[in-house]
Amino acid sequence: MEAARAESVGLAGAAQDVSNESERALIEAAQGGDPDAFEQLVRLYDRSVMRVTMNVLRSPEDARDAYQEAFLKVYRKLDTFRFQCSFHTWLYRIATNVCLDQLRRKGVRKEHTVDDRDDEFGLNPLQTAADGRPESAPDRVYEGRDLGRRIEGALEELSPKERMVFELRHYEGLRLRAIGEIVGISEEAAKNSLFRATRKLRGALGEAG
Amino acid sequence: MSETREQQIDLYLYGEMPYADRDAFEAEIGGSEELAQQVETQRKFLRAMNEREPAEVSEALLAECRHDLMREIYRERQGVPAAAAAGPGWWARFIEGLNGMRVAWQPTAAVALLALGFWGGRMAPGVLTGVGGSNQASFVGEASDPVGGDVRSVEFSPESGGVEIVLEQRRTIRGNPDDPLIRGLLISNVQSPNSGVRLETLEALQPRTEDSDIRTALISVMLGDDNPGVRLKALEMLAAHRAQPEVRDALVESLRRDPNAGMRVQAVDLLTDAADREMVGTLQELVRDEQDNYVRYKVERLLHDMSASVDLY
Repeated sequence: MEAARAESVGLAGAAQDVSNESERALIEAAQGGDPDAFEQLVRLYDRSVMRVTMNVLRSPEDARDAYQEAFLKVYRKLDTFRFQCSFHTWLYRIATNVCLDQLRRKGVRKEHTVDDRDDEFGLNPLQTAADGRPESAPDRVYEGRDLGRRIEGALEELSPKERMVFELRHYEGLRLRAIGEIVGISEEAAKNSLFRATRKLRGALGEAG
Repeated sequence: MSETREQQIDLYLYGEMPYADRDAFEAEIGGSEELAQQVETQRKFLRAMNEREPAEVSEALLAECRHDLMREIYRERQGVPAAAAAGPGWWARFIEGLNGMRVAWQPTAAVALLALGFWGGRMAPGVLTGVGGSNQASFVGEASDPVGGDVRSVEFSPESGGVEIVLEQRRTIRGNPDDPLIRGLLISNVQSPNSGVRLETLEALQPRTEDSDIRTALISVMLGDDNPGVRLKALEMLAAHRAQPEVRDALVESLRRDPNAGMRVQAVDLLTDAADREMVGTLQELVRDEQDNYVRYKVERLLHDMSASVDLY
């Protein structure tokens, strides 16, 4: 996956092409209709796909549906994959789109664009609300026993895209450039989504900053 | 704090700041107590975000998902839409046809069916099972078709009378651990339910700890494996990388929460060579909270070596 990630951030080189040979062979065999090769590809990547879907959707049932939908799309579209990006990036793009669709269907806050960020910041109650709770002192705020639940609640307040970018950067450790490729936005837009997400989360968790 | 400043701090803490800017920013942090405090507050916030309970991806869940997926793909390959698959099969339609016959023809059709079965059995012995000699099942297809493996699921359709058996085949894969396929399998296998297999997997990964994905997997094992022997092995493998911030943070985390005092001693020993001023507060808290005298003594010595106070003010 290191190789795939490196490629996704534009570090592909000759040596890496060699190390990707067996993955390429698997993909080509799967494109040729070999179900075993496809199953091996699934096994290679499905744990990380499942982890992302579980983290983003927070429901095992939804995550299972997303897993199924994502890999079926991969199977049906596999013959259109032309090795122009890493398979990992391509697969993640499909899986994150499925998750984003699910989040949107569930009615998680409206999407935001880069253009509306100033307005949004000005109006965002999470960011501006004065927090009078006793636990909002900087050093104590993160110590509550219900912190995990509060984090969940705060994450649900993010727009689907912000949430996805935050998940991929903070919890999956992907670089912003790779996240941009996966989510289908520029690196700069991914950066802005991350900023908006961390700002809202800080506000929601009572950190005035 | 201005929006630009917040963004700079986020970029810095996420390691996304360009190197040139990073040096200048670190110099700025060193010269401004206020900025250093802001960075620390944001660092605490980002660490706190890790308190969210991580999603558990169990082997059982993955196995079920793979099964559902491969079954669906099998259906697609056969050109059987899911809805049609549940409909009546050819046998059901045949029986239905028999029922619709005039009563006088039914015995004749039954005899014809019997004769067809007898003839079929004689003419195609390889197709049917248990006729005459062998009790072993054989299958339609090429004689060399090696069908075998553990049965993962059996699904019987009362409507069609058909059965679908999903087998899980054992495969042996040989190759260089640097091969992406093998490497991926090894990394995912550090979560194997069998602790012996987990240890062997770590052995295979031993010479490859330069790889950041492998280090991430090792950190997760060191902090999360329920077997202390496996955790210790992961810790030993990370020893050479103790100067890396993520490894150092993980060692501090292990020192804070590992239930095994031996592990905590190992962690503090490694931290002795990778001391960082940022750890001082945590180490002081440990001196206050640590129940094991020897571990506490080691932490006190570490603080002493760092010229830091043992007490928490």
